[in-house]
Amino acid sequence: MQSKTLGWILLAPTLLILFFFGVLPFIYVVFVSFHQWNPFAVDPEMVFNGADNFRQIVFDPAFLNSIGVTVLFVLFAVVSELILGYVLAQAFMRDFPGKAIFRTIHTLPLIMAPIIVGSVWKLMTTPSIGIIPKFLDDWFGITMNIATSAPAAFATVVIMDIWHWTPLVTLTLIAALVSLPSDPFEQAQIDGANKRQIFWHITLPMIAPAVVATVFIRLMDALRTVDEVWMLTGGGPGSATRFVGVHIFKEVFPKTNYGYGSTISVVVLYLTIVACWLLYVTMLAPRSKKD
Amino acid sequence: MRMSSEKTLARTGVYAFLVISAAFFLMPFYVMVVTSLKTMDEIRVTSIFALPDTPTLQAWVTAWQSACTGLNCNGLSVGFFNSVMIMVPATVFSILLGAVTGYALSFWRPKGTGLIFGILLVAAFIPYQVFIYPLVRMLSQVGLYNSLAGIVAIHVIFGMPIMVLLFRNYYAGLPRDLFSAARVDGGGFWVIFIRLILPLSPPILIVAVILQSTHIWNDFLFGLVFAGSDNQPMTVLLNNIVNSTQGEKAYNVNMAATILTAAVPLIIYLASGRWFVRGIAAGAVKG
Repeated sequence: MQSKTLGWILLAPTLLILFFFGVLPFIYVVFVSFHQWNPFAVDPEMVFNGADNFRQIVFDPAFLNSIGVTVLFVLFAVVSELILGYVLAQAFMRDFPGKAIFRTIHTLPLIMAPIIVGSVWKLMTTPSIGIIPKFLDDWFGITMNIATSAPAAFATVVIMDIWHWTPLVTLTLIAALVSLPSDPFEQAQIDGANKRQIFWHITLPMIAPAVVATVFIRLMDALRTVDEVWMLTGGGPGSATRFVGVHIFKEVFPKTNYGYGSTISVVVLYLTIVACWLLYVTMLAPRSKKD
Repeated sequence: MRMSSEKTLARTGVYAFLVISAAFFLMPFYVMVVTSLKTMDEIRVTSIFALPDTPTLQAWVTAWQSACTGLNCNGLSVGFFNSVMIMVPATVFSILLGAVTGYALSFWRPKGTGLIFGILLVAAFIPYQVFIYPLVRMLSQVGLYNSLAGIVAIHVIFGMPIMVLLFRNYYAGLPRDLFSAARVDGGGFWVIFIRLILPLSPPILIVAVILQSTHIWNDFLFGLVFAGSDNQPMTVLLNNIVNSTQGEKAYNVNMAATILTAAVPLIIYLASGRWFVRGIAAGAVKG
């Protein structure tokens, strides 16, 4: 009995924090999302306006654009990170001299703050000084300016993300590969399977949970990415790199239209949950049913 | 013979790939360091790739004590101390909270554990921009908005889910018999925690310290929104210096400032070695 009371007392801080800073703000955001409210306007009253905000968001080109840009960003970045990360993980599964140094180098980007990554890539892409525009100009005669060219800005953000997060994918895939049993591989080799067959039919299904977990983590990160994009492009040019995270931040703060800002938050939250559910259902559920 | 030549070929391929990818990962570091050691005159005329003619630490000194952020020209040093003031208490409190809660959840499994877990997991991944505005209002209501205590609280709150999950998973992995035996011996909750659990905890404590301290140090958005102008962390000042629109852009100072901001996590990484990788792995399996 005593230990039960003590247990609740020990859990109390966590539960209180969860309630006051998790559940309560969530309810508040949902509540505000059904209102027209601008606290700093001439008319600072909160007015209930039903589903108007939600009706507006469905046709809001700025919001739809941010969703589209984010999806494209996730697609390009995460697929590249998975391929590059997998090849690197396989390379690190071997033993060779100098492995420790390479592993240190290949983990280094992970510890850099997003704001720092943004700052360095900003310098590297500055026209006339940065090495990337200079290289493109000297070798291919291409002029690159991320302040004016939307595709260039988008590509830079994707490459920056690949630079920053491939090490994470490598580490998780190494962890997954190390824990694989060796029997299925030996059996497949005896049966005369080639490397491609082994990859598609044995390795990939066995590391699928790790791959899904990685995609999940990167998806969540992509949805809240602000810092490095803020530093590099500020969401521009135009709205080429205005990802959902940046959009919410820019929309809610300076415009002080809190009713509509809350609506965006609620919809993003909903889309996040749907995306995770879809990922889970399509990638993991069918396989567990088969087993 | 054929096997060994194939092996050599494969190894050469692996090396080639690793060297190219290493160059990709190292390039920004190289650019950072080389640029920070040059004068602006040299940056304008030579290639960004070229080594500095006469390396100078002038840009580092400027970045540290006299780079301008808006009207203040005190450099990054203020931000460094602010970041330390934020990082130390926030790391300590979030680990304490995580350890005690994680222990309570695995020692004494309440009925709603599953639900608490679900909420924690969702909370660990939610796009936090969603909560910024309500939290700003709540903190200003209790007078913590724009204060050191406020930003520390924010870090403890947002670090809590991952810390609790980390410690819970670690303690759940300890043999159950250990707990039962200690209970039979009449050990109370705290006695067991201090005598039995803490001595078993150093590995997870190290991982937690590395994870939380680098995470808090690297934060930008929370510092920007919640810290207030007196407590701005280094990352916010770095952003202000780099994106300052006044005067000519001093790329060397910007890069020196960037390295200085990155220094603390870099030192933690290089000093902790394999522990850091473990921390990442632990953080990655949180999903």
